[in-house]
Amino acid sequence: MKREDFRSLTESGIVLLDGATGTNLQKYGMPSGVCPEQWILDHPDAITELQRKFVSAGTQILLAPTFTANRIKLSEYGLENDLIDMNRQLIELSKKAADNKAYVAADITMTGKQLYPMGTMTFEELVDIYKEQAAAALDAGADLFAVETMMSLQETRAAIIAIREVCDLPIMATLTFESDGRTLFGTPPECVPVVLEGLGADAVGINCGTEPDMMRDLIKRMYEYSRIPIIAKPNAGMPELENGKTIYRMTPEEFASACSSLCDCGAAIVGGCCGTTPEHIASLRKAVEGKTKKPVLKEKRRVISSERKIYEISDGTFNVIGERINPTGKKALQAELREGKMNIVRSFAQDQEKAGAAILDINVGTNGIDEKQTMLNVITEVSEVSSLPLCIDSSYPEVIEAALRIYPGRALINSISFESEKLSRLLPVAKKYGAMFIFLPVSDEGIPSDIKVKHGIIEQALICAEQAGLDRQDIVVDALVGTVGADRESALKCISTWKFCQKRGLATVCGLSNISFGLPERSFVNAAFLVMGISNGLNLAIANPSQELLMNSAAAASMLMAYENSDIGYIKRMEGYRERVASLQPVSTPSAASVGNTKKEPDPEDKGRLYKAVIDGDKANITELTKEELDKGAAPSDLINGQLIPAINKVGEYFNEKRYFLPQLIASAGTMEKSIEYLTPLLTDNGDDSKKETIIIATVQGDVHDIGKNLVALMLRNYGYNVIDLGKDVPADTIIDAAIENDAAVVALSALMTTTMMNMKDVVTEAKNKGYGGKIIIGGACVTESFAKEIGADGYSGDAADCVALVKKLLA
Amino acid sequence: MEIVCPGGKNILKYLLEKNVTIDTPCAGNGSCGKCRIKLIAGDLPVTKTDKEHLSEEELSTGIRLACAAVPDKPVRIELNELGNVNAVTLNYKSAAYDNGVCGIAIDIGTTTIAAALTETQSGRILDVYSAENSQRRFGADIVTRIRFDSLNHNGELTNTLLDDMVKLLNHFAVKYPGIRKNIRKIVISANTTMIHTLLGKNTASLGVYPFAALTLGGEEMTLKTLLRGRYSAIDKNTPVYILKGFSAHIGADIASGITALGLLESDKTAVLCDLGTNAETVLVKNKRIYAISAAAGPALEGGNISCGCAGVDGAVCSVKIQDSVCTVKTINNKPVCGVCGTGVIDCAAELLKNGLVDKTGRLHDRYFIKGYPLTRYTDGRILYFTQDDIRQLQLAKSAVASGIEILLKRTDTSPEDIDCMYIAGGFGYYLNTDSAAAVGLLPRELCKKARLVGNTSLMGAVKLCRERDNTDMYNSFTEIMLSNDEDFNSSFIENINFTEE
Repeated sequence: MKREDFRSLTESGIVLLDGATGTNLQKYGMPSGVCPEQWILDHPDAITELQRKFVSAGTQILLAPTFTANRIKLSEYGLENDLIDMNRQLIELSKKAADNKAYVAADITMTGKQLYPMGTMTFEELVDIYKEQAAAALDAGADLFAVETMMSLQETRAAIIAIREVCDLPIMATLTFESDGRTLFGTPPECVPVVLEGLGADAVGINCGTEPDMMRDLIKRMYEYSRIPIIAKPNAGMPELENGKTIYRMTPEEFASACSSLCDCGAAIVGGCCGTTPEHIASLRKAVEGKTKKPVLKEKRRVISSERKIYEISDGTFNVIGERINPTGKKALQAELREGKMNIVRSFAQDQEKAGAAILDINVGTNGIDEKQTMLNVITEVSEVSSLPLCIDSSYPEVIEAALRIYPGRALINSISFESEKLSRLLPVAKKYGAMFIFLPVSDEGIPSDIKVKHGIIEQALICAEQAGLDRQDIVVDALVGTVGADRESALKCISTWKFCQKRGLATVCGLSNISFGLPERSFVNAAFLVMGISNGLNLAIANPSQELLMNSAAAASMLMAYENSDIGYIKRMEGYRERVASLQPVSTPSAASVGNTKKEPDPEDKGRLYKAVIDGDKANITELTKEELDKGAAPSDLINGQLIPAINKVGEYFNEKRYFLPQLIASAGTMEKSIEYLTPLLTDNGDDSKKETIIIATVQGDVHDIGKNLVALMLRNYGYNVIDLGKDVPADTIIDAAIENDAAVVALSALMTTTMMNMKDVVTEAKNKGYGGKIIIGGACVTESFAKEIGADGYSGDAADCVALVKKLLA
Repeated sequence: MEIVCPGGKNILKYLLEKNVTIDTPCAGNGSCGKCRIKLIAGDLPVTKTDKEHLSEEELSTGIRLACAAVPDKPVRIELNELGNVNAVTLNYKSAAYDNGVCGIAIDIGTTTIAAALTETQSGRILDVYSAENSQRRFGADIVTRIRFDSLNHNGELTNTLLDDMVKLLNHFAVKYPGIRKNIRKIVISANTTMIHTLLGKNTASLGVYPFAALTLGGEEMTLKTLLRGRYSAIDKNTPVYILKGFSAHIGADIASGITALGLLESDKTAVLCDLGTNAETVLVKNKRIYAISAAAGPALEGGNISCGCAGVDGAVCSVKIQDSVCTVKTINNKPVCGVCGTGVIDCAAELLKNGLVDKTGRLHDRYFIKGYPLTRYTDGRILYFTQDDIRQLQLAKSAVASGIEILLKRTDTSPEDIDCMYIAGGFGYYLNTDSAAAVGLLPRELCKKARLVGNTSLMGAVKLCRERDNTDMYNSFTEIMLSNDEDFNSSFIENINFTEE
């Protein structure tokens, strides 16, 4: 199939693709975890039957089941050496099913391996992987290519570049979008046609990921920026889990009507992804039959794009290309680039974006570096930290070409002149990578002094560009600003060139600062010149966006020119301006003067005077109160179980709620301790009051913090446990020896510092070695539940109150 | 910013590799809950660590902790990059360089590195430099870094610090092309741990009792030796002097501060307090030096505080509550990003003053559940100062107050005996001493005599670029170990409460 044939097919009406392969083959018994390509070859009847059904349902282009038949995926199953053969057989199967009633597209997708800088795979390695698969598919007789379910625009670029370097068959490219309306890697829909059309895609669109209705807005946005047809291949609704199986609920009729409305949004090629059956496709055919499709837009727009954002250089807009990433005259940046560091580059990129630049110029020309490699590194770095499209600035064509090849977007070249060598070298490069370029009207004879000659050169360049397959919308003309000190009419000459370009539909750009060279207080001259430029239709200026005067003048001038949204733009910019000087607005809070803190709310569970004394931490009177209660005839064990324990439980609750803090907890625990001390000798040993378990507690070796540990010991004692406190900075063997000797049920360890917490592990190891059979629990400021798990401790508690609960639970 | 992270790799580790700095006070230990990221696209299962620190609501909006997150497949996340820390340097009048002989004084702080280029003869300061200590990504406080070092043993702390040194030296060399050959001396002041990492020594013993130091400083060497084969634009034979400290906790930075303020040359009784994660406090009395180091924890530097952050641009550094209206100021008037230490102290003091916090530190019922609404972030979310935040401050201030109490007690000194208290360190000039007194961080009596002196460690190094130190301070030094002091624990518990005015 030739690319022209594909175009006429799509012009003739809405083109139907097929439905799902994977979810349908599962119905034929394909298990998960196998190599799908191998399973298909082992069960050829399944795919043949499925695809035949699609063709009779109306499919015009079948996707051969070569989805993951690339070197990386096949090597996961040890099948990489069968790559050529498998691709051939799979395509032959589809051709057989198509039986000349449908075209067969070789299907290509992501490899699952990540590109540098996220992973280790280089862009060229990926291009080679795709080339290998593309060549195999070409030999097998594929009619066209479908690059699909792509999550990364950059990997899609690699696939398209690879296919184009192998053959000239039509390419359909579709990406998968997330619920936030962008691909996983952050690309919004409008970037897709802008970047891929120039690289040689014949149709772009969306597949998988979403249900049809969620695609409407995405399709609309793609359509607006595309001069090639748009593809929509949605799932049959969102996946749902039922009895552990993924299912898609949309019926063929629902699917067809939703897809048909995608055609109203601009889709011209439609089909189904996960969950769609031949019945879905048949319904879809009925729904779109005879439907008039929206025509593909003819007018090219002047748009460049990063992986995450487009910028349109339309008439009636003005913006700044940030010039700061350029080592000329910047010693620190030069030094960094030589060392291969990127700190300044990163902050320049981020600062300029914040300051309002729309595009970032990238120039790394300085001595003592490998300019090509540095350019690639800087592009990778800047693409990560900033979403702005880039302007690739170098005097060397090979640097520009290398940069365009790896740039994950549609770049602006800075620049191509009329010097014969540059022109003939760079126009094909711009064409191959679909870039826009800044044109400098400088010929082999140098900068033309006569304005008529200058304009003549511009006309000539336009013809050359069109012959190279580029359009006038791909060109931004630099009027070449002279110095007003040398030529009084420099600014006026620029105005004349801008008007000349505007009439011919050419965008314009200028470097500002040359105008004021040699003059005092140049910023005013630059600002005035900029305003003149804007009022004469200048589209872009290369400048430092951190200059407030310049940027504010530009915002004001754009507003006075009644540019769209420029009034809001101005106001927003001024808000930012004020924000830098004004302090923050106060937050008002309700009046507090009238209400004091409610310190003592009545406790509905008041269980008596001892209860209250413990809650209040009334250490001074507790012994007296205990005596009085006993005098009234209360049994000691009733006082403990009926008042003291409920009280300390309540205190623990308060502590957990953060109403009480350490001093209150300690006061309460101390109060209770005093009462218990008085009551213990009076307890009658009647058997059921059997002695509770022994607990060994210590702060581990290397740590000398024991406030928390002491509190835990106190609380445990109050609950009747026999606590043996070994103190602080205690070695592991001492702890375990004591535990074994005293037959302790629990060993409780404390550490405050992250540097000593590892010593807790030694205690666990020691316990294992010496065969200690009790529980080991840990706590302390730096310790966490997961750390306890990690070192094999039996429990963790966050504070003293929790610890009691933990011990109870472990010993239950 | 948004970033795509690869599958199969811990997200925090990936961000570190990319030099994307997010707040990681505990260096990925899973204990602080600060390294929040938001999942935008892809799958990131909720981890145990997430559950320990994040609410159901936060989890459902895709908030996760980077330290525990390992996606299966690539994910797109959103995060807040950490702002620049504002280093405290020196006040100086810039002067033109006339090719004279110079020295470079350097203070290596745990958080920031500051340096001054000084003319040796006149003592004039020509220029100052400050930058973040790049070790910060291995943990906000010293103990976390020691732990990192002892777990990894890979020299990362040393490499990172030496890279920072090269950057600093090159900064001056590029700015003043004539100085390359004119530097006569480099004087470095730092705490004991930083000296260990600077010299490539193992820090493990500094993290565990009895806190044995392998060196206290006092080394002299050439720049070439210091930099271990790194190249800087300053002449490689330039002598480097590393100042000497007293102990693992009372380091050369404190000694340098004593020199800067001339405390031993005066007959006055003075206190020098460097407030931070550790509050190193020295009392100079009758030409003798007594010192304590109180482990305040990270709260005074914004750590462990729900909305806390370091002293970065946009950190709330001052709070005023009047007639129920709360007004805050941020560092450099940048949009709010959190509350730093001075803001925490100010906020607690104002809440106390307005009766919104009681003596035990409990917030008024109205604010008890959610916290007190302090201000708004730019996106409209309210920044709450919570009950837990007050608890954290109580622990920190009690540690400092109790430390000072013990220091005075063991030296038979009453606050009235003290002529002046100098407050140095990261708090810079932002600390409101009235607030410090109101929350009980420092004794009120001393706050009346307080002077905020900024970076005395750097000041001392500047002084020593010019003259050699002749006072022998090391034999007149006594350290009072709080961990062994019988009264410290009870003081600490008592001082957790606020005192009534």
